[in-house]
Amino acid sequence: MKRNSIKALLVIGILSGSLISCDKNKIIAPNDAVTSAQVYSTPSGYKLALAKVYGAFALTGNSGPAGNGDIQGIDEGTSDFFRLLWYLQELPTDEAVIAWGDPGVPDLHAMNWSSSNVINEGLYYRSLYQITLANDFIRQSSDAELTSRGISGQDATNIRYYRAEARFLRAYQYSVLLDLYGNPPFVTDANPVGSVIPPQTDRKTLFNYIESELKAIDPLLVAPKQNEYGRADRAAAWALLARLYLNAHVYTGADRYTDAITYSSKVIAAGYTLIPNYANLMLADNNKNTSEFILTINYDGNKIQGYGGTTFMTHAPVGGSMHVSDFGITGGWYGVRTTSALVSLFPANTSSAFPSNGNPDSRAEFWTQGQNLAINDVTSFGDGYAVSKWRNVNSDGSAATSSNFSDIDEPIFRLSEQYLIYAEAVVRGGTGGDLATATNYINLIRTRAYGNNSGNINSSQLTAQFILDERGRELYWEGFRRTDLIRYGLFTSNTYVWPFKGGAKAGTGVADFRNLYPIPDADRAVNPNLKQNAGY
Amino acid sequence: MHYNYDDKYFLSASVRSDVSTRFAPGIRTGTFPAISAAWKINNEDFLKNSNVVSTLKLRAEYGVTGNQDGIGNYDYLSPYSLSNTTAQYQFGNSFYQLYRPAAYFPGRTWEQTQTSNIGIDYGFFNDRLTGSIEYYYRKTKNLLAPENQPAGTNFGNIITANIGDMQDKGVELSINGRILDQRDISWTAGFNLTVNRNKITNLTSLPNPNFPGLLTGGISGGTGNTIQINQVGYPRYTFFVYQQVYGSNGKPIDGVFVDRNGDGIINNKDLYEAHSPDAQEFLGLSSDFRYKKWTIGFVARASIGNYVYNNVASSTGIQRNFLNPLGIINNGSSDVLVSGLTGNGSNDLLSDYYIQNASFFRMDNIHLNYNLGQVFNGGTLRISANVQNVFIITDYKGVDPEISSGLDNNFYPRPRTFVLGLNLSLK
Repeated sequence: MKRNSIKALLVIGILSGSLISCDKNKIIAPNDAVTSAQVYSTPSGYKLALAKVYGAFALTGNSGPAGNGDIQGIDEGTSDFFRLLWYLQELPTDEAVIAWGDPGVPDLHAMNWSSSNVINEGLYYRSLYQITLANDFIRQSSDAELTSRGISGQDATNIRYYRAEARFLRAYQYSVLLDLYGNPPFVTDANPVGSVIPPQTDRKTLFNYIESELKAIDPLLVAPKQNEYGRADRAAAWALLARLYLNAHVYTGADRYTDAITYSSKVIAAGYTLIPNYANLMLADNNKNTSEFILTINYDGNKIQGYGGTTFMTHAPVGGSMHVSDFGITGGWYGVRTTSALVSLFPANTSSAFPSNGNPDSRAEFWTQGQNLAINDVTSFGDGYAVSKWRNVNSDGSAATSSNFSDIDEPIFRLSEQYLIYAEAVVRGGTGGDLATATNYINLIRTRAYGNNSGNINSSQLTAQFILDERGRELYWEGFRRTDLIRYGLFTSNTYVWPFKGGAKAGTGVADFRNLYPIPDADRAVNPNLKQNAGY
Repeated sequence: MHYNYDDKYFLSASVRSDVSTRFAPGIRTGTFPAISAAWKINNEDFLKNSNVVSTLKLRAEYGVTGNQDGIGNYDYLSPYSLSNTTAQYQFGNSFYQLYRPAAYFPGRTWEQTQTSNIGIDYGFFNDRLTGSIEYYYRKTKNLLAPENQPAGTNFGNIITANIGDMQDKGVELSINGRILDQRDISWTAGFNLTVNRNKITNLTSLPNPNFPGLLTGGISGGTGNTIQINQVGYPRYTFFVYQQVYGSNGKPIDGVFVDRNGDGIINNKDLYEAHSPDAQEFLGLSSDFRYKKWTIGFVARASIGNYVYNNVASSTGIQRNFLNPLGIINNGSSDVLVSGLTGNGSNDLLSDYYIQNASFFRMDNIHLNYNLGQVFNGGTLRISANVQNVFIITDYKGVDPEISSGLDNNFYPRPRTFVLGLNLSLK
């Protein structure tokens, strides 16, 4: 039997069932977060936003010590600015080896990193992240925005200083990118977030940009030593200019030693003096060292927590027979040591007194007990002397606020570097300075180191090589070494080798293209404007 | 809408529309249609009176579903959130919490999965033998997946965007039979088989052969190591490892890996996509046999072609774990006696030596019942013995090969349970 009955069940109206009603206010102003209009409606909001622009190089995320990280695709503790900078500036040099096999880390001392190295990627994104934050702050703090938000008088004056400081931080991070990557993508406050795919800049153009930017903000910044601790002033801009000019030949092919003398002299003339005791430089209460420190990255055991910065510097070099109480921590990380190349820059030790073993040069803060000077196995903590320069204890011996996170602030500009820049610029033929002053500056550093004038030199001893060695002695592990070796043509070459340079025990040269780090694959995959640096 | 003609031809269609406030205004609505058709062949005249074929149905379906999981509620805005008090910054002698703008992606919208399948349901001999066979093809578009942002353009370097495409295709087959069906004796048995192939077909907004892939699958040992990758052309969560070199004695040579790109150095450019943690084939088998008051049966399963990263062996089954620089004696995996690896080499954790075939056959359950029947006043009593997780056959060297993530680390072993039961039901 055939049936022609058509049963049709129309189920229209399903549409209506899913329209979930919503609270409009909840959508516009989520209660756990606020919009930019709310943040920037008051002067105090500006200060909290400025705190983020600065905090991006001290913290790794919004939770502290870890959680809610700024940078993805990398372990959050490793994503810290100074830790990454330290890895890339110190590990490929004679100053440091590391025992760990963490991603990307062993390739650095072996000098065989690739364009997808995660440490390389981490610093690149960290620097550009701080630049992006600075760009946003600069846009939000224009005079037009201040007027439209009804901010005037002293509040507006303060915010203009904040704005100049955001421009300084942007210039500083571009100087990091200039030095490590040469040809990074380039964005300023003229490019709103998400508006364009950033074009690539080249090293020479970027150098000129940073130089002009620092000169433009010079009169807009607070006078030297007059700003709040932790905030950049004019001396910080001069110090960065001096550093750039010293390296200008590497960046642009043109010497700028005269300018290096000019700007280091301005910093020196601003009234900075060395603190009396080198051993107190990197201690928990080193925020007292304002006579020498020009700008610091600030950390605090309770309030500024992370696994990078000086927490890394106090934990990673500790292991073996070292006493954790000397370092104000509860346990070392058995990671980094130094090579005999750095140790040999110093005179012989005379005792085992902590921290510098009776060395006439008190800067030789090495832990030698149970450590072999020679390195047979990079992954063995016992091979290579440990460094005890960073100690999370106060200068009077009392404990810091926390034994897990460090109180030590990390100076990114301090007076000694300016003395050394002045001296090197004079020796390399810059004008406007003189050899006697240069020798005197070096002797100020050495008198502090020796406790008397027994280590002083005369002007005939002040050679370029001596200054490189003196930079090693004075500034070791502070993030300068790779740049210095490149400026001296020694970073990749076979003329100067150190243990396990290029992965060989006796050390070997590597290809010159490694003077620059690669543009990370991850960014080249999404930014078609970026060409890879030669060789990668 | 459902349409049925003569109990032979079926057609149904539906449309669903969802609105989610997780997306920006204007792109909040997702419209998801579905359509299916079926032909009950056994109701046609030429089969109606067949003694052999009792059910035969050809069906085809197509549908789209939406997904909005894995994203924040307000990510289309750029909300500012205040940091914790342990994440402040110091100016002068004061500490300030930070206002952080979040990474955002205003253009994000629904992830859509299109599923097409065609199948036959069958039953023979008055449905004594039933089952189905089906082919399916699933394509996921606008995959909500992490995407790198061009540096300098967003407040984050990786955000979740509608970025990728992924496909799944496979065959499902099932057979169920009532082999014996008498008053005193009965036996039913079932078998099913699934074959699935997964592949990521796109992960970038512009085609890019140099796309490095997205690393994932954090492991224990060291800091920040990952063992898996999502990469175009490979199944999701494929293992991404160094190729171990083996000596003539069959043991891995400590710290020696294949220079796969031939540039003379071993670095992360020599990592390769090895295997997938997902099974390629699943099999299921069950049986129930009854004789008078006795019942005995089992349920078993097999998984073929799934691989596991033995993180227990890689992080603890190395000499360095026992003879470590801290001078502390640790417990560890006895795998060290097999591999002899020191663990000093930085790449050892990512060796494909630890990617192990975890195909298995597992007897999930065996049960035996005796039904005493009526014991008093209408109540019935049953006695049963039941074993769960009876045995497993596998080549995998870790504790258990059945780990869906493919990462064997801190896995809590499945218990084997023996249950003796007395079941009394009263009226």
